[in-house]
This record gives sequence, structure tokens and C-alpha cells, in this order.
Amino acid sequence: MTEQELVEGCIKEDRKCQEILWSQYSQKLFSLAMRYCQNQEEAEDALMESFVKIYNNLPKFRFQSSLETWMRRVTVNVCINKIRARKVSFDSIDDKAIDLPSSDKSFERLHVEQLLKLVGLLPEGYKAVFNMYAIEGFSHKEIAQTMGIDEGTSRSQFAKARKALQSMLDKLEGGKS
Amino acid sequence: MSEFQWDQLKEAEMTYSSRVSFDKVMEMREEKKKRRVLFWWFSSAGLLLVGLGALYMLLPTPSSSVASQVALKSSPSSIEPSESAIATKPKRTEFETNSTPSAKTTRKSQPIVSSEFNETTLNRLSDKLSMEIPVEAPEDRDAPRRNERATATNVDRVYSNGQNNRIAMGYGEEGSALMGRKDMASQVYSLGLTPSYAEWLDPFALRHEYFDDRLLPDNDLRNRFKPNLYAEITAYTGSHNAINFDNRDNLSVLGTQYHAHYQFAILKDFGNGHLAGLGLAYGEWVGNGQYRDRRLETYTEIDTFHVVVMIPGNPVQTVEVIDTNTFTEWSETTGTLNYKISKVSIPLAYRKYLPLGKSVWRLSAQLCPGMTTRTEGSYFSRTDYLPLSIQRQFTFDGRLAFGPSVPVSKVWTIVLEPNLFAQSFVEAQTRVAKAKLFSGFGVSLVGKL
Repeated sequence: MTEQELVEGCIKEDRKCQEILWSQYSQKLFSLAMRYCQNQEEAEDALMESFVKIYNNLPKFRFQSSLETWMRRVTVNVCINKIRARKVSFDSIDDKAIDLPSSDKSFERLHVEQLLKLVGLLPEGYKAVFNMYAIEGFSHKEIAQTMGIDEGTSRSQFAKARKALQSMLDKLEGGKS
Repeated sequence: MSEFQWDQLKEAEMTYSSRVSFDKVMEMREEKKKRRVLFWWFSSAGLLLVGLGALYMLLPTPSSSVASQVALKSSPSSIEPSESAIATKPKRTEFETNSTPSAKTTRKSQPIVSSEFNETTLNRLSDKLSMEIPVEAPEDRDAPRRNERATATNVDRVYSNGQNNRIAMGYGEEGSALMGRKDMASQVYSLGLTPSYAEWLDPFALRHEYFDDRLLPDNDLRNRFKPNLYAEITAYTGSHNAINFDNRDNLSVLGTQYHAHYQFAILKDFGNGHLAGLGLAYGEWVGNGQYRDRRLETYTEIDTFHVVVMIPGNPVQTVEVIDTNTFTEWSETTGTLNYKISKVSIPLAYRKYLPLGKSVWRLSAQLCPGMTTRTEGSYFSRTDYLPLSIQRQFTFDGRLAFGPSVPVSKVWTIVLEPNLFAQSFVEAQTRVAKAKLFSGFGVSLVGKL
């Protein structure tokens, strides 16, 4: 079944198509939600809410991007709404004031699970921006619009996230040796 | 981190707990649908109620209910003379043929006659009034009884009760169609609004009530001949946006213009809710915007370089190459535009009060010829701007407004008016009229003089 047929089936409320969509993307989107949310329960709620939105809004999907990209975007928005509901503050700081690590090579030794754990340990504000920028590939402008913060704040949050990740990695390596 | 790691992070899959399933998602969806239906149901019901309420407000009050209100409000002692007055509504000829003063009615009408009235005044009044009064008996339960009295009433005496001229003139010195007739709107209906539609339909029903207060002996006849003048203080404002995104225009302006207008006017009541008058006004017309001037510019670039030519057997030669290119480019200039025009004018105002549902609304129209007192900056339109150099320029404005009139005291009413107005001036250097249409809101305070 092609992506288009799947979408059309879902729009026609074909339960089989809806189930295929669920089984095909739910685990990926859950992994995405886990990166944004505080705990598993919140991520599961976000996943279900996202799928409700996806099913309801599929008629608005115009195939201008891939279906997965669109679904990821919907899930990210749901997660961001959850973060905003918790009133997480995003402090704006001067980018230049942060001493950025010169290279990310130390990350290359890590497995995905370890990276995910490290990202999960990031403070709330940094985590969302880091996920959106580094993993989902949003621009700072898009992040600013989605999260209702300004572009500078997004940049500074990302820089802070990278610094925090680096220091966590240093600690991890220090502990190993 | 490598691209591969990012991709792995992005593509990572995790397993959720058993509390999450496709069926749960579908259940959630169904619940949401139900909630949406409920929301729409309640919203529609709310809107329907609001609509019905508005419809009810717009429907005129049945005259029978007004009559009953009046009847309830009236005390027996006060009804007597006014009933006599109402009974004068039939044509004079009818009275003349029917009038046979009885002892009872004569006694009742006598105290009403002011000692200040002389016979000539009374006759003149009665003549005048009898010509003007539309003859119709009020339709209510008391009508037959009143008609009986009418036949037995001395017409001249009744006319001379000091109130009848109000009947004929339509609006008394204090009781005007505009101002809610002071006593009536507040006492009879207590709506806090100007007189309802019922008053317009059946003014006699209310004037009948109105007489009760007006039967005081110190009522001065001269007051009744005072012109019905009103003072009106008005402030209104409006805005106009100049927007031009058309790239075909070389000059495009993006800006907003505001106009604030303050005026004082004296209005004369001509009856039937028509008022007209004039006054003095001051207005400020301000514009702030940005312009973009795009010009197609052509320029030539000359590139000169030397080429060394080496041909075996020949001496080395240098050739100068002159390469000429012509370029065409759009150049853009942007800047800000501001202007301010202050002016004084003489508003020639017309007002019409209309009953609408249970409230009174006012239609305002006015023309204001005037003169600028100060001009500065550059006046602009969507595709043009013009520096203002001459301080005194002729201006001409027009305004249309429509809004409800709400009494705030026995003397003052406030009129809240959304309005549409045009502002213009003649640019003295080019002799070209520049005009703008503004929409906005105004407030008028109207008081009886």
C-alpha cells in the first residue's frame, strides 16, 4: 500500500488503514515523544493525542512533505504544548558568552541508547530546543515560532544543551577511566 | 556527532506500555467527537437564544400593553384633567356640535386654567392647536368613557389648561422626542432609555401621563415658546490604511492615517426627531508610513585586461581586451513619511432620531467646511506623497454616523456612533483636492438648553 493510498484510506475512515498507520509509525513517534516529555506516561499521552490529531487532520495533509515528516511535526507540536502547559521558562542568554565545545567527536563513540539517555537528562528547556534543532532539523526561526520564544533564546538554549551534553560526556568518560 | 548517529536518533523506535493501543486512540477520538458535538450544540443554542433576544428587542411593544402600563401608572386624581385633554383630539367642529358644558366637567377644568392667561391668548392658542391636532381617540379600555366626557367638555377651557400646546407642538419645552421627554421615559417606562417605539406610535398615551406633572400652577406660558435648542459636544475618530504591495508601481506607500475631531454644536429641534444646527470644530489629521521607491537602473561595466599572445616565430605581443557589459538592476530606496494637518471648521449638522426596537437611534450627517491652521510633513496616498508647504489650505469634510442614543440623566443623552467620514483639503500649490475616507467611532453628548 502506498503512502497516498494509506492516507486516502484513513480519510475514508477505513479502520484497516488507520491501524496500519498506527502500527507503522507509533513506535517511532513514541520514541520522539519520549525525547521531549518528562516521563513515559506523559509521552504515551502525547502519542495518543498526536494520533487523534493526525487522524482528524489527515484531510488537510497536502503531500508537500512526506507523511512521516508531517506526523513528526504534529507530534512535536503536541509535545511542545505539553511543555508549555508546564510553564517551562526559557532563559535568553548571549550566545557568545557560552564556550562551545570545539568538536562533537567525543559523541561518536556513544550508542544511540546512550545518546538518548543523555538527551533525556538535559533540563526541560534545553531538551526541547536540542531535539528540535539537532534531531528534527527545525531552524531556530521555526523553533522560535513553535515554542513562542525568540530566535536568540532558541540559539542560546541549543548552545547550553550542547555544553551540558559535553560536560555530561566528560563526566561519563572520566568515570570510565 | 556523525550524520549516521543523528539518523539513528531520529529513527529510533521505542515500545510503549500496554495502556497505549490503537483501540484506545480510537476511543479517545470518539470521545472528542462527542465533546465537539456537545460544544456545537451548546454554542448553537446560545447563539439562537441571543438571536431570539435581539429579535424580541427589535419587535415593537404592542400598543395595548403600553396603554395598560399608562393606565396602571396613572393615579385617578391626575387622570381627570388629562382625560379631558385627550378628549380634545376630535376635530373642533365635532366639539362645537357636541359640546354642552356640564356642571361637573366645568368644575374640573376650571382649576387648570392659569390666571395669567387672557382671553386673546387662549383663543389664539385654541385656534392654532385645533388646526394642528390630528384627531383620533386613543384605543384603550377607557376610550368610551373618555369620549363621553369629550362630548361634555368645554373645548376652550380644556385648551386653556396650559398643557394643550404641548400636544399640538408635539414636543414640549422639556419633553422632546430626543431627550426622552424627561419625565416619561424615566417614570413611565423606567427603561433607562429614550422613549420606546410605543411613544412614537401613540404619543397621546404618554402625553396623557405627562400632563400630570405639568399641571402645576407656576408653569410659565413663555417657557413653552422657547425654541427647542440642544447643545451637542462630539468627539470622533477614525483611521485609514494605505497599503500597496504592487510591484508594478514604482512608488508604494505603507502607512496609517488617523483623524481626531472635536466639535461643539447648537442644534434646533424641528420636530419629528429632526434636528439641524451648526457649531465649531477642531480636527487633527495625522499620517505615519513608509515608502519604497523602486527604479530600474542601467549601468555599464567595462572590464579591461591584457592578453599575452605568443606565436612561435613571432615576437611576443600584448593585446588589450576591453569587455563591456550592460546591466539592468532594480534599485530600491526606502524612507519614512509623516504628516500632520490641524484644522478648524464649521460643522453644518443634521440629526434624525429614529425608534428602533425599544431604543432610540440617531442618524447623523454633517458637512464641515474649514481651513487648516497648521500643516507639516509629507501627505501620502498609496502611490504618491506630497510635501505640505502652505499652512492655510481650504478643507471640506463630510460625516455619516448611526448609533444608539442612551439617556444618562434627565437632561443629557449620550450617542454612541460608529461613523464613516471623508476628509479633504485642496493643496494650494497644485490646486488639487486630496481626500481620504476614514472609518471609526464617535461619542456625542447631547443636552437640552
